[in-house]
Amino acid sequence: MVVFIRTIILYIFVVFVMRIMGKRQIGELQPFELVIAIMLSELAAVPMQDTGIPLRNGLIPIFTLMLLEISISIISLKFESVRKIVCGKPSILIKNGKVQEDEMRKQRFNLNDLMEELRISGYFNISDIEYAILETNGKLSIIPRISQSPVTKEDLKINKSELKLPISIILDGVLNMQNLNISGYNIDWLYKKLKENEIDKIEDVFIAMLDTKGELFIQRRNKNEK
Amino acid sequence: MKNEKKIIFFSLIVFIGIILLEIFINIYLKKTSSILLSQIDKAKLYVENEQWNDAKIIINDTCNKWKNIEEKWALITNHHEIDNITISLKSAQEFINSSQKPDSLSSLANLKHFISHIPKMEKLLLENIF
Repeated sequence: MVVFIRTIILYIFVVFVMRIMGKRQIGELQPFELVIAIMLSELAAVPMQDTGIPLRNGLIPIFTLMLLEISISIISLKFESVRKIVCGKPSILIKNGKVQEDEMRKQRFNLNDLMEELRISGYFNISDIEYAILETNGKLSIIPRISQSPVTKEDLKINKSELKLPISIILDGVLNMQNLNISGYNIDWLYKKLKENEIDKIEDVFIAMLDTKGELFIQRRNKNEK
Repeated sequence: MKNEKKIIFFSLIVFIGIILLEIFINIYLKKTSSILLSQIDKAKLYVENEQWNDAKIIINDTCNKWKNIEEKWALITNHHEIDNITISLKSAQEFINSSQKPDSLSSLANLKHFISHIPKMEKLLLENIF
């Protein structure tokens, strides 16, 4: 029972700390964030299973790591020099279509790794690449040669209006008034649209959302279908 | 920006909270351990002079005091350390009750070491950091 309660406390605590640390902690990790993520899991796991260790011995180090992470990320946000030390800087592995041998050696990145990353990104020839940049989070960004870059609407001179932000208005029979206001429409307009779709009540709607074209998509709830 | 300020403010509060908590824990451990250590010193003196009745009274009093302190120390320090103190205290109590001088003195010495070890462990010293 003690282990059960300690696990709940530590779990809630770690989730809370991860939320405070921000979204970056969950996605692509910078070196200092990776270190903190590894240490966090270990720090939470040890007092979780060993009831001989007071919870304080787990909680204070986790809080301290959170403080360090927040401090480092704020400092590196304000000062570029600190950012270079903490996160490193991106390395150009292919420049003007030429593989940079020295940089590859410096980053201990072999040709097989490079080819693998290029293939994953959909490029099979080095000659198709203008620039390849090894980012600080370990991902490879690729800028293809102009002849290999995908055609855009601008290239084809297709004029299309800009996409709108999709907004959900009704989810599972529940109206989101805030989103309706953001969309610029009112409740009368919504009822009118529902009537057009032969729906009387908001509760009968499974999903109603404004799509990227600004059109209302409505789907009736299954159980209420006649 | 507002969110960032909130997080900085929260972090600052947490930082100050941790520092204050640690200072409080240090003072508390020092205070309670000195109470126990003075009791043990008295018990040791009585045992050396073979004043067994006085020694019994003081070791029983120490046991009662330890019962109260033990619960609070368990929140702060490693439970194995607390077990060591409890075991030494029990054996010292039994040796004193059966008036065995060398054994009583040795278990009191053990007890003194275990109790003084805990506040020493929490002290901000280079040897504790490295």
